[in-house]
Amino acid sequence: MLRNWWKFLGVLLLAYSIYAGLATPLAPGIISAKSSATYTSDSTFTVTVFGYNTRFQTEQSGLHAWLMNNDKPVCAIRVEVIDETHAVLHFPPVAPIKDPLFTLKMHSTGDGLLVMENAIWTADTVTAGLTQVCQPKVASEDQNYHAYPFRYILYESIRNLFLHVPMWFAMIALLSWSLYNNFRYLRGFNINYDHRAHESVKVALVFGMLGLITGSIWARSTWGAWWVDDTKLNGTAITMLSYLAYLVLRNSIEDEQKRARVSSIYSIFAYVMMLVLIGLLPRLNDSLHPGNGGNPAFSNYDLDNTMRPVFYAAVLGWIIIGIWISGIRYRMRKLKEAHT
Amino acid sequence: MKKLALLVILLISFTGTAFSQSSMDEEIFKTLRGNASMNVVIVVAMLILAGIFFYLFRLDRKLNKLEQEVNEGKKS
Repeated sequence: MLRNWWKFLGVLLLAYSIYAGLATPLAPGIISAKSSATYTSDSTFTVTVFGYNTRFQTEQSGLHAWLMNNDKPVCAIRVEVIDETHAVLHFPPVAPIKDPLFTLKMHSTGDGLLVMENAIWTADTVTAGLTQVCQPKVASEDQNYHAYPFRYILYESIRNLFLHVPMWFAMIALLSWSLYNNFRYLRGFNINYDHRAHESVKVALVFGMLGLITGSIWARSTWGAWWVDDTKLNGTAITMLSYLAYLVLRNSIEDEQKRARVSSIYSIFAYVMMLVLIGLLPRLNDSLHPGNGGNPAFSNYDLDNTMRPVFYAAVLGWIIIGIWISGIRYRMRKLKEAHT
Repeated sequence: MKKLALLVILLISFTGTAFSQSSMDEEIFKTLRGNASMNVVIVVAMLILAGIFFYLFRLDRKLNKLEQEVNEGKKS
C-alpha cells in the first residue's frame, strides 16, 4: 500500500482538477453588443448588450456603462435593464476622436468591471471628438468572486486548459522518461532499460493522439477550423510521426541488442527534434497558441491565479497516470518474456 | 473502431442541437460553440475519458491473453 502512494496521489490530483475545473463558475462578461445606428454622431443611439453570468437585474441600482474611444469615456444616459443578461444602453450622440471603434465598459459592485474591446463600430468619419466626456465611477476593479476569467470567444472552453494541455505535458514527460531510459541502456546495455523506453513511447503516443484530437475540436470552435497552419500544430504532427517511425524502426531489426542500440540513438535524435519543433520554433514564429510569438498579451490571462493550482494538479495527475500505465506495460512485457 | 467513430460523430452532432436556442446571439448557441462553448469542454472531456478507457480495455485484453499463455505454460 505504502509503496503505491504516488498512484493514489495521481488519482487524487486528477479528481481535484476535474472537480475544480468544472465546478468553478466563469466570471461575468459581455458576449455581444449591438449598436442601433451605423452613424453615431448625429442622434442618440442604443446599444443592446448580451451578457454572460451577469446580474444586471440584481445589480440594477449600481449599474452604469460607458464607451471608451482613445482613452476618453462617454457615459450612457440611461441603462435599461431587461433581465439578468440583457440590457439596453442609451447613449448621447458621439463622434470618435480618431479610430471609429469604441470599447464598451460596464460596472456594478456585484459583477465588477465588464469590458468588451472594440465592441461598437461607427461609420462616422467626423473626427470632431467626444463632446460629452464623463467620469465613470469604478470603486474597485478587483473581482470579489472566485471564478475563471471571462475571455471573448473562448468563454467556457477556457476549461479545456485542464484537459487538452495536460495531454501534451504527459506526452513530453513520458518521452523524457523514455530518453532517460535510453541513456541508461546505452551506459550498460541492459535490455530492460530499452524495454522501459519502448513502452513509455507507446503510452506517450496515446496521449499525443488524445492531445491532437481534443485540440482539433477546440480549434474548430475557437479558431474556426479543425486544423490550422500553426507552427505548434505542424511541429507536434512531425514529432508524432518521428516517434511512430521509432516504432517501425524497432520492428525492422531482428537482433534484440542491435535493435535496442539503433533505436536508442534514433530516439535521442527524435527527442531533440521534439524540443526544437514544440519548444523552440513556436516561440520564434507567430502562433495561435498562447505564450508564443504572436500574441503575448494572452498569457496574462491564460494562467490566471484561480486556474493555476487546478492546471498544475491536472498536469501532475496525468503524468502520474502515464508513468503508471507504462510501468504496467513494462511488467506485462517482462512476464511475457519470462514465459516464452 | 467504426462504431466508436460513429459514436463520436453522434455525440458532437447531438450536443450541437441539444443546446441550440434562439437568442440574440445565435452563433454562440449553435453547434459546438453552444452553451457559451461549454459543449466543447464536454466533448473534449468525453473524448479523453473514452480514449483512456479504450486503451485500458485493450491493455486488459492483452493481459488476459498473457495470463492464459502463462497458465498453459505451467500445465504442460
